[in-house]
Amino acid sequence: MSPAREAGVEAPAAQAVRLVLANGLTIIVRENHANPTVALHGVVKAGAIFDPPGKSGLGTFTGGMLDQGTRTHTAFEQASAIESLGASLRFEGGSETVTFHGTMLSEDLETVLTALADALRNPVFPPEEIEKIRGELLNEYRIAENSTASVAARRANRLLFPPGHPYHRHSGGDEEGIRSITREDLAAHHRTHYGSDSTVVVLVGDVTPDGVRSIADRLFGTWAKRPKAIPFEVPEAPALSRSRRLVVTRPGKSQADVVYAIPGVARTAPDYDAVMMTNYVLGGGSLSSRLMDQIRDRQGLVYGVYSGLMAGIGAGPLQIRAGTNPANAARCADAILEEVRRLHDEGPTDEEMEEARGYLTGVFPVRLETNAGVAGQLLSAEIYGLGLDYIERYPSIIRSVTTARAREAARQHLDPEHYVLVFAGPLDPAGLGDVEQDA
Amino acid sequence: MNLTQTAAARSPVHETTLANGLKVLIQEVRTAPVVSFMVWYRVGSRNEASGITGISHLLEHMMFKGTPKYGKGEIARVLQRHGASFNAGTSLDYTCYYEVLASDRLELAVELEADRMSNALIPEEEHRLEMTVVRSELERNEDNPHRAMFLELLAQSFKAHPYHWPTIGWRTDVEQITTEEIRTYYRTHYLPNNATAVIVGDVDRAKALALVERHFGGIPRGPEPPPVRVVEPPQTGERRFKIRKPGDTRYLVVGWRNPALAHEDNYALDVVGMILGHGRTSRLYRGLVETKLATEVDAANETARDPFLLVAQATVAPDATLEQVEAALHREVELVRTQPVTSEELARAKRQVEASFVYSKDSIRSLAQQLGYFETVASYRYLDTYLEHLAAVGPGDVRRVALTYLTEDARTVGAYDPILPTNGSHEG
Repeated sequence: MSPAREAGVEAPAAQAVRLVLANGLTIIVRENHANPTVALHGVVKAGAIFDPPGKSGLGTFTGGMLDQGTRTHTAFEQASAIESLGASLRFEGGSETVTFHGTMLSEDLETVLTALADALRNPVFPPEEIEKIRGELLNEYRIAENSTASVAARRANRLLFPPGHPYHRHSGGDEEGIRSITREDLAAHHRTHYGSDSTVVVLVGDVTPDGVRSIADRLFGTWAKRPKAIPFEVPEAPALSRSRRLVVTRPGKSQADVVYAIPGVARTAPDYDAVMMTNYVLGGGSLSSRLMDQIRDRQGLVYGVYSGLMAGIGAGPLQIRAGTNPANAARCADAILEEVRRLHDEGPTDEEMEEARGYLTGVFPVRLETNAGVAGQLLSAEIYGLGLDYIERYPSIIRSVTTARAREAARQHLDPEHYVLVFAGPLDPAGLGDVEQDA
Repeated sequence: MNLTQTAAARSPVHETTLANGLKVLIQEVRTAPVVSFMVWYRVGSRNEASGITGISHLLEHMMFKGTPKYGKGEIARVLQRHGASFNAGTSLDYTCYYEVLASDRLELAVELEADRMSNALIPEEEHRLEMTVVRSELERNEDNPHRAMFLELLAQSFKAHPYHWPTIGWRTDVEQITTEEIRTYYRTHYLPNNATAVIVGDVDRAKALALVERHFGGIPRGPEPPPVRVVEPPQTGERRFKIRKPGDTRYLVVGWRNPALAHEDNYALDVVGMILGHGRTSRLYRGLVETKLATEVDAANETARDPFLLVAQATVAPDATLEQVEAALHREVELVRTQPVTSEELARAKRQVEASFVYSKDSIRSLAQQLGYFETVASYRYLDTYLEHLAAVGPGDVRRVALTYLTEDARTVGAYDPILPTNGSHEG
């Protein structure tokens, strides 16, 4: 490893380097020698979209078992190897991928990568640990079902995407799935989906591409590809033919959550950037977005209201989420619909787009301030094929989105007529108009 | 350099106090073209009194409502236009405001924070409108079992000290605080002599200091805010509480009183917290999660300006009972009290803290956060000697502080024991 420079010395922003091992494993490395640390981030394309019917949660369960015992190490030994260094290495199941991330001192790079390779390649699914993780997943599921925000978001996806569509299910699984998953299910899922050709590793910090390559060849070089290639894709969901309104009753809560959902766009869609910027104007994180301005600042109905565009390998949902006093839930939903309609009809203004460009290009270096921030950007650029130079190109991409393109995106994608609306909380369905009730 | 030295080494912090009493801390870190600017006020719910609980937090909300120069919503709008990441936070001992932005835009943040240190308008109409927003935040807290448990733990552990009430305040107080009370509170506490400005990032320190001088220098010093005099009396017996609300997940929390942050016993107590409940190698993880009694555990020595709590918590597994989890937790604590921890455990805890010091150098925001926090509750120099003190902690110290502080009589035990759904659809 090259020595870390002393703090206070400017490090030139190195280009990211892409290494592909002979077996197809992709590794992205970006050097930053300002501190003797390394951020690790990566994925295995083995998320919940591959969960078979009746086994919802299998991808997450399998991801949760990677550090629960391997051919040569117990779960405790795996944890101890990492924690004794003051490093971290965590696996997390998600909708499309199982992600892993870690932090380490650069002198511990090889030890952590050894632990990573062991976890990805050699898990043995000990029955005792399976039951432990099953309990954790069941508790997480119940906690989510009892949280008005989580349950509203999950039900919205269930209505938005038909049964059988990968986005219909939540990556955390459900009671039936979690209870029925067997050791053989886990092992088979691992055999089918984990391999050198479904894995991407990103390292940013006090590392060099040559150093990484020699370690990776040793640790991952003999890792086989998956038995057969599996397309990493999600089918398009059919358009909503009518709006659906659902109420999920949760007595004893102080607050209600309202979720509006429509289909969004894939991260790879040509008009992704225009849709993303339109969503920013609507409620994509800014304190002065249209939704925040109207619903928080003018009408005083919520602490926060946000619009999230979950753009993945497929067109995930665009969800608007608000938490409100139960008495205001109906008004809050009306206000959301009104803002969606207004943006759909009129599109963003030139001034709003200029502000969006200013914010997004300005905040980008702030997001890239840490190695972990850079690693996250490089990882999504790799997964979605945006190119190694995506970080360098980002400002010009944002500046090139015209108001006209954003207006077109608003007209095409926002839908004030066909949507899903879910209310969750201590609610009386009678006050919410024509709503279905959650079973 | 060994790890301890690497962790302790940092580019120097330049400390200046302006004539009006504003403390300024500047650290040049040139790893990215970004700077973090923060203003920390030495005021939080600790400075409140019965009847106006929650006023520090309410004031923080009103600080975004404009000055004669920046109209309502303009503060956020201007910062966003310049690509700043920004927010504010209120806690027990502090209220802080921060911006992280491109380093060539530092002056914008400095100018804006100086403006609202003395010119916030706090309009009555905006206060009225903001109440629904604050209410919504209150309700969100009530619905979160972890929050609810922690707040009840504080309410039970502290009888006299202001840590008794939630930072967000008691609901009836928050509802009845007047705009005039908020303005008075603002004038009493938002003073240069009660604040610290922190700049960390890609700056030249002389130029950065000149910016702070230019914008904050003209704000007059004010009378020192009233001190908090109350001292929490010792706890002389175990306290217990229970929360019952609809739901189906059970939680256990235990708190033991610890000394104020600056007290030397906290180095060993920090180690106790880590050995008990940090990570999958910790005692509680092995004794409660590996045995399938709990699905999540955590313990940490939580310090504050005044004595606070070492807190352990557990989420009860679907097939276990609260009683089993409590018994197992007490058993693990008793072992730490009666038997020496292993040298491996001790080394691991120290290494984890040292490594976390090194990691924090990767983010100018966390560096600024550390400086501002420690300067507000003790001194930013606390960090200079922290690792040395930590390195000196031996097994005897761990056992001594465990015996002294983790006693049955000084603990408060809380259970979140929900009322299960009547259909009993998923009873463990």
